[in-house]
Amino acid sequence: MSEKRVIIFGGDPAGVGEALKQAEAGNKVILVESLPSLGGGHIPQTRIIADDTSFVDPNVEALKRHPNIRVITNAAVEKTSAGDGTYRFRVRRRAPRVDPEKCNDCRACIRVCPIHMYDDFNEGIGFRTAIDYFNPDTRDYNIFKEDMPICQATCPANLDIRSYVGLIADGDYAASLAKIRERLPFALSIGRVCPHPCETACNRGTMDEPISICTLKRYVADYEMLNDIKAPVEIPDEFRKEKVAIIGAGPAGLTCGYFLAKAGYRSVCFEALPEPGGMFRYGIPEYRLPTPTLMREINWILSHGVELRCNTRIGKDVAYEDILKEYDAVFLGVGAHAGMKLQIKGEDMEGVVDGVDFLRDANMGKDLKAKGKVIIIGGGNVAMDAARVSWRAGFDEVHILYRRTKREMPASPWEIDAAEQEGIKIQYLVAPVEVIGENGRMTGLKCLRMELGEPDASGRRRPVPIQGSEFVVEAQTLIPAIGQRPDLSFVPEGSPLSITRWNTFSVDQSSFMTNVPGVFSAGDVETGPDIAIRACAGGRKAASGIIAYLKARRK
Amino acid sequence: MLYEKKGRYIVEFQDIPKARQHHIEIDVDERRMNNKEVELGFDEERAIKEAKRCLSCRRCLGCALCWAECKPEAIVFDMQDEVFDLEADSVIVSPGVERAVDRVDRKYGLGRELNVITDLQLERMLSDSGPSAGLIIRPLDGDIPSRIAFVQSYASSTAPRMHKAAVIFGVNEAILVKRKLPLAQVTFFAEGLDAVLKEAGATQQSLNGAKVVESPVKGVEGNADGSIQVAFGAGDETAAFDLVVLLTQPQVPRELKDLGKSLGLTLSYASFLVGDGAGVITTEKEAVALAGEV
Repeated sequence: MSEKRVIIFGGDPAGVGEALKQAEAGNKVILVESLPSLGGGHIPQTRIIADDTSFVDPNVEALKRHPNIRVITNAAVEKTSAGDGTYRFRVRRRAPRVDPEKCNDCRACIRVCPIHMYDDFNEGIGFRTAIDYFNPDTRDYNIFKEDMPICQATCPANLDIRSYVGLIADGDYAASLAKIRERLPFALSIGRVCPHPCETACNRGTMDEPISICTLKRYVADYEMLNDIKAPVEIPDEFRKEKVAIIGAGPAGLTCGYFLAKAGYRSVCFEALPEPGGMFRYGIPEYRLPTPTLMREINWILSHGVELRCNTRIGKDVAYEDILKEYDAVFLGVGAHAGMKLQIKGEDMEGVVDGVDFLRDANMGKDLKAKGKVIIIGGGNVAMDAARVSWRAGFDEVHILYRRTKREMPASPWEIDAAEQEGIKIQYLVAPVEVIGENGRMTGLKCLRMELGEPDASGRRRPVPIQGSEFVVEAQTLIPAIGQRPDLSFVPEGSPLSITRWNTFSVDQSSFMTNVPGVFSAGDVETGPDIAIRACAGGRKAASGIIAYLKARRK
Repeated sequence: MLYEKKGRYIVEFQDIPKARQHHIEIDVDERRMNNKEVELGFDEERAIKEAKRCLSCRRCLGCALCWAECKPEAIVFDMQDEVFDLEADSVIVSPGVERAVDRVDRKYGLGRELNVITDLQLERMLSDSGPSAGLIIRPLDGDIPSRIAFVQSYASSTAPRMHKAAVIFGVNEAILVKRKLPLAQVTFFAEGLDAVLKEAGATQQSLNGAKVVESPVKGVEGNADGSIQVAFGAGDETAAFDLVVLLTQPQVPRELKDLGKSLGLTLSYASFLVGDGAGVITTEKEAVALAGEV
């Protein structure tokens, strides 16, 4: 039998055993382990242990001696491809920062290390230091140094939070804001609306409460605005001749245009609605992000060299094919502005208005016909926004119906609290069944009470209807806010652009290019409905992809 | 070689404010019938106080104390990562164990009661090279427990069952605990345990005298003395234990899922443990196999 090349992932007893077996059979074996060290005994979980076999220890010594085996520890797979019967992997071995040839296992380093962290090798029992040998059997010393602090790693845009928070502590607000703008142009807006996953991850939270990162970001941006400091515009002296079309002037598109301009590429941004901003402008209520604040930020971004054309809907005012022909690259960031239907009877009646449409009308200053009682369906942040806007608009009573309990609610807890404070009534374990009305105008909503059943695949308990619990709530307005999806009607029929079953574009995650060369996409239209900072992060990465694409084409 | 610490200084700990600063916001009364911005952010004093709370985490701080202390000069801070491009005709994946602790219901007290631990934590305790050098101890005070309960964190007569592997893992731990602490009272709460044992070619005799209670656990409460009150059975039965070990559900590690996805494979932990997990299981792509347990 000819010699085979075998890669084994996982240095636990099973992986080590398999490596030895393969090597004995004459194969060339590479063993890749993600932890800094191999081995560690385990208790079997596929058979009841007999007398003297309690722990299964991998035979690490035999493994190290075997000429056919190469071991790569502390490694992560970066890239994979398969074809012609060959698997290719790019594997990065993180530097242990300790030279095993020189280390004499004296433990002096462990004694002086000031960092005491939960011992991850021992499932968090006890503590270890940042320099350690991880597995006492192998004594492979290494320094545990992360690429980024946890807040930065959690932030979709990977903002250097530690630096900009530190600069605020030093009182250097301009440097702090500049640090933020290295990766994000929307400090004013994101500082107001972000649900800040970084704060959820913040290590200080395990001690008392997390750092208020989001409000700190807002503080430095506000400082510039309130003190009338001119925001710096840093662009190259000369722009390149290529031009990029950006479809959609939302968080993703404008971020993309900003980073393109900084790299010396002009772009034209097409926006279907009368004003730029996308969901910042038409989705987030005024009381969370005032339009003048947003416009200050957008005008600053545009001043870098992004041309804006509003009231221009692709597929109606300009043909999609013409854009493809006229521009060197195209960025699609049209967002997800189409509300999902409840799929119940009577949904087309007058008085039923989708959450996204309702918020857009409110943000456009339209008459919301705020009379009587309004019911909002859903438990996300859009539902909270719609409810709080309704309350402000003057509805007599505002009710939110949600089919599970408060615990399962996806909205941010502080948004739920604020809504309740404002007197909005949230009813849990209720689902709509039918819109009731007269002459095509709704007068009420038939509902069903629910109870929580068994957990489903997501781990959340599934709501189950209670038989015979139907009841009718009188209401003049119903706002379903149960999710959005992108409206891709601008893509002409027969276009090669591939669309996923969630009605989104799929892109290469490193370049953000779609399957059509030169066409890029990010934001909600690529990820599905998500938070603004993820759209901004995507816009920045897509800008890098576009720049690389244009550079490669020039050669 | 010198490691410079540019602009680094040590802040006195008393200077670090304790409480999180809260943003300023307008009253609820001021919000009706208008669109005034509700949250007003921080003033300068709050901003600086809040920014000073940041712990600047990154596990190793680069303080270079270890470097200064290391006589053989084995510590190299600027050691670079290595990147390998590897090729193979065949790929074998040994999934290891990952357990979804965050999915454990709060009623089992994990994270709330110190003396409630997971099966993996007990495994580390039982290991001679573990944090307690093989001693079984109560995390609260380091005492040797005399009443130990094994509880299925998913168990109920209707909810999804624990994976067979989780149950066997727990049984093995109970056997080892009994071996180390022969006088300890070990109780194993499980429904349908006999069937699992039978499949593994064993009986309740194998449990070394651990008591089996055929009932799911309804919840646990901490007592004032640090012991844990376990509620079970059809009525209002309870019993006190010094240490409660939760059996957790095994699942495919995330990085492995990603790997499987990039190779076009669907990996499930169940498929790994099919056929008692012995030997190598080939998945739908011939060249890729899953390694079983030895």
